[in-house]
Amino acid sequence: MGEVALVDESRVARSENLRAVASLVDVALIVALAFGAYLLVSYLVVAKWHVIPQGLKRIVAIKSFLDDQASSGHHGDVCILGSSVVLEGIDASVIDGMLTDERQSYNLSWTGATPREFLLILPAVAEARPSLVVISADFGSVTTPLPNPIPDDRLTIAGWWHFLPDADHSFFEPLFSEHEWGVLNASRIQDLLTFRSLPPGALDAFLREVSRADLRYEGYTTNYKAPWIRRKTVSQAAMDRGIARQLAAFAGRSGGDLPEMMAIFKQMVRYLQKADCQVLIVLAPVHPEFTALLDNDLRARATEALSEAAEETGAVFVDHSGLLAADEFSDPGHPFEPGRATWSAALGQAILDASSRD
Amino acid sequence: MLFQTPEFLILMLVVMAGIVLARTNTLQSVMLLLASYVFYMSWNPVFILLILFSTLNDYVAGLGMGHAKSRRGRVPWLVMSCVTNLGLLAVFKYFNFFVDSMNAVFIWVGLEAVLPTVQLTLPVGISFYTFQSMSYSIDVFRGDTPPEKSFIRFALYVAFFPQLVAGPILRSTEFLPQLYSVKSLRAENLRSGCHLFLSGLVKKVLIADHIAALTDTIFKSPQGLPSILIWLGALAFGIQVYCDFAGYTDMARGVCRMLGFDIPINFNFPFAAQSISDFWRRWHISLASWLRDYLYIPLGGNRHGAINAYRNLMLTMTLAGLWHGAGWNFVLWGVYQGIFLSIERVFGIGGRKRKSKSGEVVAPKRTPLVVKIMRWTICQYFIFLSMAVFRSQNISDLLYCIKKYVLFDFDFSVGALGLGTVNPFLAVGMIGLFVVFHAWSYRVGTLARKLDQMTRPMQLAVYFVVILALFALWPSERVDFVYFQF
Repeated sequence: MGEVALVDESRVARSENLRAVASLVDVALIVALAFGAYLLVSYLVVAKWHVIPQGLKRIVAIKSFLDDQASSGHHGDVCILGSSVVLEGIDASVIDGMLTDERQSYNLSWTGATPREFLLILPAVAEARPSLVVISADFGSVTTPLPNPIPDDRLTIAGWWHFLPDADHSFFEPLFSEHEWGVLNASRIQDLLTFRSLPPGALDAFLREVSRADLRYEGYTTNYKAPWIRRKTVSQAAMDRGIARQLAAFAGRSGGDLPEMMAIFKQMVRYLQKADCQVLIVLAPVHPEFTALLDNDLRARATEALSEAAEETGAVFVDHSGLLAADEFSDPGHPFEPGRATWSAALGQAILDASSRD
Repeated sequence: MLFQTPEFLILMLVVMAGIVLARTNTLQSVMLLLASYVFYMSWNPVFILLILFSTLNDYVAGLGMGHAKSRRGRVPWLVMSCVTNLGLLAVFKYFNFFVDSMNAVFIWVGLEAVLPTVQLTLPVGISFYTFQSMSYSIDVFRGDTPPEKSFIRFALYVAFFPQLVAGPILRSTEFLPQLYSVKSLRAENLRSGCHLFLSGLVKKVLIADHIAALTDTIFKSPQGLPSILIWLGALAFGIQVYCDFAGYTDMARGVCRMLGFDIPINFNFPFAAQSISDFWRRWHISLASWLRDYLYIPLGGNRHGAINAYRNLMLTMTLAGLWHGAGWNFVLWGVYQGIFLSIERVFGIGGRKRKSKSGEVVAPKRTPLVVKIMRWTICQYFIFLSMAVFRSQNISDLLYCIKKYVLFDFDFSVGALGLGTVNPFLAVGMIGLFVVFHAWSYRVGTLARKLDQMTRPMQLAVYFVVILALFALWPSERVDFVYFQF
């Protein structure tokens, strides 16, 4: 065994060849058995026990939270949708303190969210019937050339947990790429295959978070009130590197897809308005050092496009991009104390102003 | 068409059916050649013309040398073969590197960069099959092998699909004779081949592919990173490239064995090496032996004094670096290897045979364990430093990596620096798994060999566990083999 048996006979019976192939039948069976076992384990671990990275787990939890809101009959709150900039930069309890009525505000943002990803959660938001929805946008996500694909793992969990109701398929289908729509409507087996990266990702995210000094992991998935706190800022070297990296990401961007992006924004606003929700679009704060290096023309056009989209749809637009000072950021992208307090207060005021327009 | 894709499984099933149905070795060779060309064309159909040209060139050269009556008469044919093969490499692999370097020199002396570059796609596997084809011509020239009269067999030797795109680089003397027998599928070959293939999949899919994202992140922009991350990057890349390449070789050998062919090993526990010379006897063995037999020894080897030996060593290793890629980091990597091999030669390190005054080979002295550990540690330190040199994308990054690797800064603020969206802990876990797996294999035998020795139920149990792990950890995105770019 282990060495090749060279066969020199020219008349080897075909049946011997077939017997050789048949000797691998048990391997084929084992592969099939392992595949079946994998599907079962994947179903139990991911779908049942939710062993998935915190970022994805939060999205599932937000959907579940909104479903509970809808079924409880308690309507009229304020939902805030955004990326990690909002997650770390908005303290919903500060806004609650400013609201003069009984409304509650919920920070339903998640890390890495882009405006197109909000499409996934839109039906659940509409179903919960909040009085006002804040949609946060930033220069990065608004000016990214389309298609800015939504990661497959996010689409898969949205597909598995039926984020988009069948009745709304005709509305949503044109807003996704063919690939995205395919992943959203993939078969259960395909979903289970995509799930394979989630448990290792969950372990990694867990280790990554608990190994940090700032304990961002604790209560992350179901905390919609207190901000996701960072306890320290990054070093100046990391800050410089981050700004350079962000700037590099903007290289070559012309904003050519802004009209298409705004069309998606308008669709989202109208979808929410159909459910009697008022919409407030907020341009998130940007680090001043980064703003100084950013293409002024691109910045102005993105701001104007958002403003026009809001005006056209009857939404309210507020520009908070220049709100915070450099020392109010923990890194090139995320607000830090006291920036969080400043922005939360400013957003609370904007919500009050928008509500008074009603 | 990667080995680990459904397309390759289909190709294998077709080839196995072909082996069963074709009753003569000529028919089998035709079928295998067609399969090899289909395999190669799956990357870029156009480049089949290149491989056909190279094949035809060396086939004609071989026949020409066979008809020549003297050594002198064979020289023009050998020159034709070498010039054509090296010419292909020069055009497709090194032209833009040469132009860029010349333009850089022009700018440095205050002139304008005037030489234009050309948009050329590097044909996959060109370095492997040109070297393989050229070695045949040299062997025929030397009289080590007779010229192959069958074009089909020779073309199959050049393009045999399991090892076509990333080796091992085969010698005609070890492969062509295997084409003269009728192949059949045999249970022991199929099973043993499957064991090798599985072992290769573990290295490639479970280890290399999970480390790739970490090394990509670190070496994409290493400037500003602390020493600990440069060390981690060097370690990770060394393990990644080993598992990627050795995994490919295992799979290639497994496929060959299933079809009834035997091709040589290409790696023999390189991370157990206690000297750089030892490392090169264990790492990419087919290239190292090619360079020794067709470059170092023809240059004079160590036969004309110490100075010439060092010159030959430096030249050989510099060209070995250049073989890997058209970039100054590869050249420097080759120079680095040459310097260390020369230093080891000066100090008599690296397992050179000691001779007594009467010229007899003397058994080496028993080396104390402490000395072995020290040698191993020092050797591995320099091997992984060379990995950082190899992986760096430009000279500025390369110098930074060397500085941070050598002058350790004791900055452990990895958390604050972050690693983007990469899963560093999974990658680090895979590095740990590799260390355990590698040490275990070194002590008790490779996974494929252990599987060969197991009872069938045990084999199937191991298969079940490994395949389950492969399903669970199969990367979401396709990760190409590192050596395909060479």
